Amino acid sequence: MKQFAHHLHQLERREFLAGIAKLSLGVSILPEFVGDADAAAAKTTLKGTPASAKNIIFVYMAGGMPHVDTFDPKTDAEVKGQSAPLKTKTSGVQISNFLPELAKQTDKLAIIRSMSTKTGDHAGGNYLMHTAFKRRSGTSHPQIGSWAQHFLGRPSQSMPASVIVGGGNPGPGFFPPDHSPFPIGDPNKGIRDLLPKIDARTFNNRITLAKKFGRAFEERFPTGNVKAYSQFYDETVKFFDSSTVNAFDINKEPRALRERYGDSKFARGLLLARRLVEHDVRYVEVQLGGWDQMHNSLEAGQRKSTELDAPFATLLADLDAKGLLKETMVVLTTEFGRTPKISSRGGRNHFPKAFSAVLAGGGVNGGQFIGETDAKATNIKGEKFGPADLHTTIAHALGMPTEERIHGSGGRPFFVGNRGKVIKQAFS
Amino acid sequence: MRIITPTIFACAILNAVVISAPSDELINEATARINAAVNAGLAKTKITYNVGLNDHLFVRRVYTDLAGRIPTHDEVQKFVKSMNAGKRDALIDRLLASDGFVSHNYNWIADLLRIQSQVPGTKLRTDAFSFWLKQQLKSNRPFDRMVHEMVTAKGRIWDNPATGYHLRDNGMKLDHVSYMTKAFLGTDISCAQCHDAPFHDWTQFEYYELTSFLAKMDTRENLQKRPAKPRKGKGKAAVTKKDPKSLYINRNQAREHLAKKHKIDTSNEKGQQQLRRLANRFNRAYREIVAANELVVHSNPKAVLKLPDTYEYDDAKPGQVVKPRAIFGSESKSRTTSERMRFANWLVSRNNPRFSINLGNRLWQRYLGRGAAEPLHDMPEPEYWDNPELVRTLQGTVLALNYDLRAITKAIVSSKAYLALASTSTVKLNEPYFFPGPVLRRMKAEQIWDSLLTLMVEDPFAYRRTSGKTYNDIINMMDTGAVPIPEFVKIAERYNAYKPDSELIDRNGRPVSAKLSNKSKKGSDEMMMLRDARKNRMVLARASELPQPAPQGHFLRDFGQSSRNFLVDAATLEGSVPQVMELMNGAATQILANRNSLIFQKIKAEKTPLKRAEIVFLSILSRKMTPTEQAMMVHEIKRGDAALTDLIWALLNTPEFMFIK
Repeated sequence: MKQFAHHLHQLERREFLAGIAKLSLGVSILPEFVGDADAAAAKTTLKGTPASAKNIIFVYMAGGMPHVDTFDPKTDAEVKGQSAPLKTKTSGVQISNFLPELAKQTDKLAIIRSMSTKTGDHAGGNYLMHTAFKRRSGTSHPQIGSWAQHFLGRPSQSMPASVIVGGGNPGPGFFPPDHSPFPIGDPNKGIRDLLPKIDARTFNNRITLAKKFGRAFEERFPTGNVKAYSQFYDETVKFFDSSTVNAFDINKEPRALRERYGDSKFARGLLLARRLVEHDVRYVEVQLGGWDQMHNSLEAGQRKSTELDAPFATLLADLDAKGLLKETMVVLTTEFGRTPKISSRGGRNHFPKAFSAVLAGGGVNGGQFIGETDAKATNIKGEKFGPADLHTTIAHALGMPTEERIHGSGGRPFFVGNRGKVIKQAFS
Repeated sequence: MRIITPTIFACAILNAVVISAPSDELINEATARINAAVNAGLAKTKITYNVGLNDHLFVRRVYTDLAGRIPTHDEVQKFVKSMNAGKRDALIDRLLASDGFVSHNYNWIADLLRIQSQVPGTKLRTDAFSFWLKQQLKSNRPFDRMVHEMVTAKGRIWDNPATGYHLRDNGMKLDHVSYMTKAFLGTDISCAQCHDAPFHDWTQFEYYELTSFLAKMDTRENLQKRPAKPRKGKGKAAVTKKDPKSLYINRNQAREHLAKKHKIDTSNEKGQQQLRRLANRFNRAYREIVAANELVVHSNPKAVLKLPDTYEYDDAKPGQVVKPRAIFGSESKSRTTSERMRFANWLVSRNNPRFSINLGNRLWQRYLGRGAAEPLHDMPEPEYWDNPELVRTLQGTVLALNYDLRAITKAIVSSKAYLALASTSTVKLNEPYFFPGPVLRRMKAEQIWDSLLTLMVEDPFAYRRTSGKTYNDIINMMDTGAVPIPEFVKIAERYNAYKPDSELIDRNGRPVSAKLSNKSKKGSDEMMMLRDARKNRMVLARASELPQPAPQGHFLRDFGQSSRNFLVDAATLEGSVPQVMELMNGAATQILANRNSLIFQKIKAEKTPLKRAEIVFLSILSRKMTPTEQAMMVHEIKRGDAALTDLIWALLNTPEFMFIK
């Protein structure tokens, strides 16, 4: 048993340390910026719109969230399953009765019911919803947090610009490695696992020694890549600073609040996300996985909805109470919806044709739904929105220049949000 | 007697040509030509070579670049103390013939071909392919022959491991071709997959023409065909037609068999649950085994390649069938040869300039830190080369030395440019560079890992990965075809019990997962070391023997090992916070600072603190202390043995350890 526990510990540690997926291109596009992250920010001329949001909390439903069982409930017998529309705090807006707590927070939500893509596989859909780009050989696209670091810099020098909780490490895309989100394995542990296993005196002594013995080499080879290394050392040492450790420690939150969030990993992740945006982390992603269990049963959908409901509702209420909702945009999305019609196996399959996403805070006007599907939840009536539109909307909210061209490998041009359109209704 | 078809015959001739290793004179001539080309470039810009390497720098440089790891304390001492005039040349030759060179070169090719331990999207293990590549490198198979064999390979991975190359990109032919041109031709055509490439000359149509050479190649065959349903009525007896190749079995019958075999009482909920678990486990194994058997590189004569429905240019219509045509170079139009054979012939042909330029350029970049034409995977046209003569000379070297990797490497590492100190200022990619010496480069992830290994254990090759025969023997069902359900259940059991690490074995054939024996060599330092590593869930084997690529969160990945996913040349050399944390607090560093490591054993052999410090310097940085450093150490050492642990830690965390100066 002890060994098992040890193994677990290692796994979490590894997950946490999960390396930057160094997918940067053969040529780093901004070589002169490597090791000089601040210069990148300073150099950028902002042509973006005034920001309505300072931070983003990206809540991702991994595996495909059934729109019918969550934000787009129907009464049609063929599709409704065990879910039914529930009246909410906002008149005219109904969500599934699987989400009773969230129903009390709908005044904050703009529910987009007209999301649509053509990508029906998990890996492809996941990539698309996280980057706004289709997966292609030869390019690795950055996620929003990395784009924001490129355009807007790092809000704090002692904190990472973006953090991903329990979702592996997507890497920096075509930006330099320091633009990668910082991966957190277990929200309960924060970054404690990373702290040196030796006493502070020994640690400091070693750092001093390394600096002393490194100096001659650094003076002989004052090149960009060597400087970048010493910068990473300085930065890492800062991470061991008590204020950073503290920012990552959700146990510093009042017990009552922790209990309101709940003790699931997802709930703790949301609490950590709130704590991090409070401490100048601009972008935090939290994942709730397991939605794909819906292939075989409708119960799985209900179970997942319940796991989502109270923690997510608490996050919104908590952000609001702390006055953070004004400046924090919360985005909830997934790779695709699930078939409205119940499958022969009694579950729902992948359905990219129509699904839902949710926006709240950061300038979003709550208490509305945008777009709609027909009675069978199958066809979108009117305008459809894709991942590019969602990402352009987020970029717009953060004040990023969505028209500014970035050159990736071979001179290929890229735009944050991949030239989607801003979902204007969300802000009005 | 079998009739030898022209295709096989042609292939046999090509392979039968015994290319004798290039003579030393030929290699020396090549080096002289490289020197002349670099000299000319430097003279034009009035730059002089950086200073040459002293013995300490030389021994570290060639071990790191050729054996893929830093030299040990003893190796440094032995070399430096040797009075032999030809010792440098001799060392290069010895390292080129070493296992370290094979391992290090394998890492390079594995990156280039994006090798993963399993064929993506399936569970088929590719150890046989990796093993085959290492054998090719060990026997110094000419690079063009090796590529030709991979491109024309047929069959399943256990019959013909070279098929691992095409299987890697199973189900994504267009992508496969674009990876291929990047790796072997230094040409990026991936833009043209969806539209005419705006920055190049080729069009989407040409991309399809090139891919069309492989139109008839298929990497998967369906082995799950159900027997046709017996026709009812018509008075005839029902006949079940069976596909002789199909591995289809009736899962309901399998379930019944499992219930009987495990004597499960399905009348209660508990029994049903137990059976469900067993059946699920069996079904998963069944699916994976069948899917692995389905992977076979073969020819489908009827297959054609069509333009996509979204094709929007005037030169052809959407959905139109595309015929094979090469994008440059000259190709044979022979009708007797298969299209894939024609393609392979064209690819590696001496008349295809980009194939030879690509290899020369890639090897140059490996040792000098920068290509003579950049970027590697998309070399520009000659007018954009900083020193066109150098590129052509490297190409000439490749051709003159007949794609002999050891000979080409020898020619490069004997050049004046390579044997000079790395440049001391930043070399920007968008500025010309004429190679007064190598660019200062960080070791690759694999070099750092293998170097740490050198500091920990006496024999870094204590564990090697086999050709995966145990695994292949379990899952290969092509000799038996469909087997009765009880037999299949047994196969699935063996399959589920299989552990990949059982094929990572030591010199005595014992797997790494075996219990470390307490009897033999009881308490030996090496044993203690392996035990400590095990506690930290680390396998002390060379990067080339570990899972491909190492899993997320492994030291190798933190230091930029390629994820072997969507990019050729995806390994990175940049720093990151997790990397620094790994080096500061990671398991590897902790183990190294432990008393059983090789470096500590060396230290123990010395008596005075200063001598001990000297060992640490020679082991980690391959050099002696400078007077300044000595003075610092004298001060530190007053703290006793703890100072040595701190020193090891500190030196590992200096850029001097990680960068190849």
